[in-house]
Amino acid sequence: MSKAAGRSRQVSERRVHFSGSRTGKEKREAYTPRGVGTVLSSELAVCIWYPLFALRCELLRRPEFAARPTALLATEDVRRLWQIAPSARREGVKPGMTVGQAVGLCPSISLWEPDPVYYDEQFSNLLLALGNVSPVIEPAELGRAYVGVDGLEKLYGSPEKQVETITQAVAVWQEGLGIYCPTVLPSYRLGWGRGKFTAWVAATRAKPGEAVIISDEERADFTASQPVGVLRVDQVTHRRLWQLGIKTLSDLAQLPEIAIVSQFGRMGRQLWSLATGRVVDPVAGRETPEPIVVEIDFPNPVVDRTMLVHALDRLIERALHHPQRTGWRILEVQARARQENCASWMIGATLKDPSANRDHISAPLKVRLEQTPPTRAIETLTVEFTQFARGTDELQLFARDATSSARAGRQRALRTAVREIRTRYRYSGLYQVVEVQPRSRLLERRYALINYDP
Amino acid sequence: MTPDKLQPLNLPQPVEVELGGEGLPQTVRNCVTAEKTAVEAVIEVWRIDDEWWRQPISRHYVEVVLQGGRHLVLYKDLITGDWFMQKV
Repeated sequence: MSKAAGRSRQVSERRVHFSGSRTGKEKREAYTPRGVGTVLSSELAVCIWYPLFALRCELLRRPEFAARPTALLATEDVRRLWQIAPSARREGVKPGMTVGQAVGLCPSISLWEPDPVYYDEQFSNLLLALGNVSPVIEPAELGRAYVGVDGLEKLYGSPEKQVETITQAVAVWQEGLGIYCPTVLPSYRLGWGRGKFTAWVAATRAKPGEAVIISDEERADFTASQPVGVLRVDQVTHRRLWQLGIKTLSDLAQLPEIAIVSQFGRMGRQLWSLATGRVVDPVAGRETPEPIVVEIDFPNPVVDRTMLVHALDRLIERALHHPQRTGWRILEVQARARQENCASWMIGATLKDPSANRDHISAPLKVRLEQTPPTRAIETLTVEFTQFARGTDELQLFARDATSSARAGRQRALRTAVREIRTRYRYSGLYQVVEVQPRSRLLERRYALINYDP
Repeated sequence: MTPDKLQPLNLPQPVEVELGGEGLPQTVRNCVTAEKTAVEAVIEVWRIDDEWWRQPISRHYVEVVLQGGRHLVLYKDLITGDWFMQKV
């Protein structure tokens, strides 16, 4: 038994080994929930965790490097290292090091520039595969996602069976990659438990290719025995916890809530709630957006193919900017038209990889347009996004819809900061620039500051 | 600032302006910082007369580029005769 297993032996969690290969040839139809007005959430969670997801994606493309020391460069600063293969780590190479430092420590290291769009696509496909098991999927970060399994015992059976079903779904995704590399693929870990936190901690305690299942009876003991390192907080908070002598979640839970809040603010309350097990953080699946429809009426019916292609591009751009689309990639797109004399025309495409890029979405439509062009002049052209695939927050920092998700990320960060400041000082002291009379000839009347209250 | 009260941005700041032969600004002196800078180029000149029905506004605007490349809008309040500057 591994060290991790030994540490948690007293809570007798169940370990399940999965092979990473699909048993049976059946393939379920992709189920994309259209949750109109429904909240997709689940207390029972399975955490699937692929450590070094981006690097492993890269190794799938270059399996010959699987056993060699390799590293990915950071997306924002290619002079520094981002993800390091274990073989390079053993040589002393660490994330954040400069290329010079890494080569000095490990001259045989292979350094690759990151291909974030590729990793994003792979992760989107993984989420899509998990969507075949449960409608409640919550992506957390690149390589980590939660599957809500409330009520699935009637469909799949015991937690072990549920884990096995997820393993099969992941195997389908892996087969779809088209490359099989036994040293790279079965590297993910699964954790089953009540609440995302328990599932995540269980996944961190699982060996590669295994699952750890924590039942409700075991949950309190299991959580209490964990080191504070399992909490997803920044290094400064970790250091402060250690300096205060808080080494396990049990230490944290034994302190009064107010003491933790006074030291760590709002985050402290969350940490304390997690440590005491008073809060179960459910998996929150995002509702798939309703189809997004945009259309254009031509004042004069259009026959010219170039004009139609141009209009398609503009409509796809408009649809991509729709607020509902944020955080989602397009899987299926349709273009239809009303022609002269009430005739109609329609083409559609399913994208091989979900995308939020205009050119990727329009390319198959343009091919269809060439193959089956409209028979008459077009009066109204409509583009509809009908199927969507999930993206992740972290991914979208460098994915194709980076701008919108970065904006959303900034908003979230600001909201958190404002709440924190207000908790301490009663008012935020932050202001927002608002348009008052943006076209006024008097410059001082155009913009003003107002209290920022997100 | 009191809560939820709008605070205008880009309020006019008083300046002292030395005019050249054609009546256009040659140097600008910031009344707050006392910094004096020569005008390198005049880009545009226009006039605004507005709100005659309440507090009349009558301004003579000059958009200038200062030495060093800073871009400013200067205006002379034609009612009081004072000069002000604003960011573009």
